[in-house]
Amino acid sequence: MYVLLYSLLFAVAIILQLTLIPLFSIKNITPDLVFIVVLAIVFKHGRFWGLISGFVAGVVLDFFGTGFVGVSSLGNILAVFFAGYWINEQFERRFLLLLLFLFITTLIHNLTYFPIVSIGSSIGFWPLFFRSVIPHSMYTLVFMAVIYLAIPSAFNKSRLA
Amino acid sequence: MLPNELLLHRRDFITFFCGVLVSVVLIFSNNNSQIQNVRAWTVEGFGFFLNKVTALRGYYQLREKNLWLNEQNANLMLENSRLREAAFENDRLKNLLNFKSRSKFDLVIGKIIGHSQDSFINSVILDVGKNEGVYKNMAVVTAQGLAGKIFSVSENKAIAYLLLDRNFRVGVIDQRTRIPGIIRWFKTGSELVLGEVPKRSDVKVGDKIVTSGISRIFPGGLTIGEIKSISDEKLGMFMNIVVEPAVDFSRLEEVFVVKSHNIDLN
Repeated sequence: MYVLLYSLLFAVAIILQLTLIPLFSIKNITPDLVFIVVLAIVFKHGRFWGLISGFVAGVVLDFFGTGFVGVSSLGNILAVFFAGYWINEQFERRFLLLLLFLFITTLIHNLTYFPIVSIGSSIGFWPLFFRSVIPHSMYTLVFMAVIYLAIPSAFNKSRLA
Repeated sequence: MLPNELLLHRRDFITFFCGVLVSVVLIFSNNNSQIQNVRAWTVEGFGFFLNKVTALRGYYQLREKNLWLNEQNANLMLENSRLREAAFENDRLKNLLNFKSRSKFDLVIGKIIGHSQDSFINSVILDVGKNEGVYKNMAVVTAQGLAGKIFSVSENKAIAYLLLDRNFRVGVIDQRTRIPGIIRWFKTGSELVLGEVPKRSDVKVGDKIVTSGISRIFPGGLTIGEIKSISDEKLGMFMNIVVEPAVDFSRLEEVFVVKSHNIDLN
């Protein structure tokens, strides 16, 4: 039942990522809604389901772009693997700690994604870091914070990894 | 510990390593035709829903009238591009008689039903595909000028690169001086860079950049944009030329795929 429910949730997230989220873009910087849903699943159902959903959602999302297929899934898997280690009950009580955790997790995702996507564009690591990795991570974090404030249970555990 | 228990105990690690392995294999197999087929099926499958959600955004607009006006506008733009090219050609070849200029564009209108966008990837999903005669590498234009080209196509949907995608390259010329170069994305933001233009070339800020027409993909004379700034590379042989695109990519809703073109300026 959960598989069906979350498949539907991911389908909706992917459709929104491709249709409505670009409306919020600031100089081509967009929040990654699909990754936010993946992280919410890690919080809810643990690392294993986070890895599975992160991989599948990443591959599907990559099919809609012109970059390498497999990059988003790789970024998702590495970030989820990290997240699974560090999630703990303190995040439910300390909002800033939760934000810091989400930011580092998003940073890991983007530090995997952007260097691979930028291959061939001759952009250096630091310009890439400051112009793409950090802005995308910050913007995704802002969206996560908004979602958390709107739906506090989104990043609360039902079962920790 | 039994094998099943071991698997259960280590399932996170096994899933992690399998996921990483498959992702890396996928990254290195991107040109595989099977991957392209799955991409086409996926886009086709999601296309219906993308269409519906995008349609919600358009309910408050006079869509039909806009479509018609846009098509007229695009045709006029293409005609205008051709005429501008012809005028420049005429200046240079005014002593020649029997000058012939013909242009015919077969356009198909495509509604944008999805965007895939980040710092490096900037593509759109169109609601037209093979059934409408759209194929890979066809030029995508708007009323303002060249917008991109078709990257992947399924029966009823297509993915198109935009000029601001890191993969996009197009041969161009400075319309005033006819100096050739190659346009690509500027690595960040919404500007383009005109490369391979030697130092001391006669290019000026404000010059219009148009497609050269050398490639078979893009018709010649399509507006790309205007030169915004010029500086010399410190060590290289070429100039750093930044071009402001003519197309406003933040407002794209419909584009036109150039199914066929026939330009003969000579």
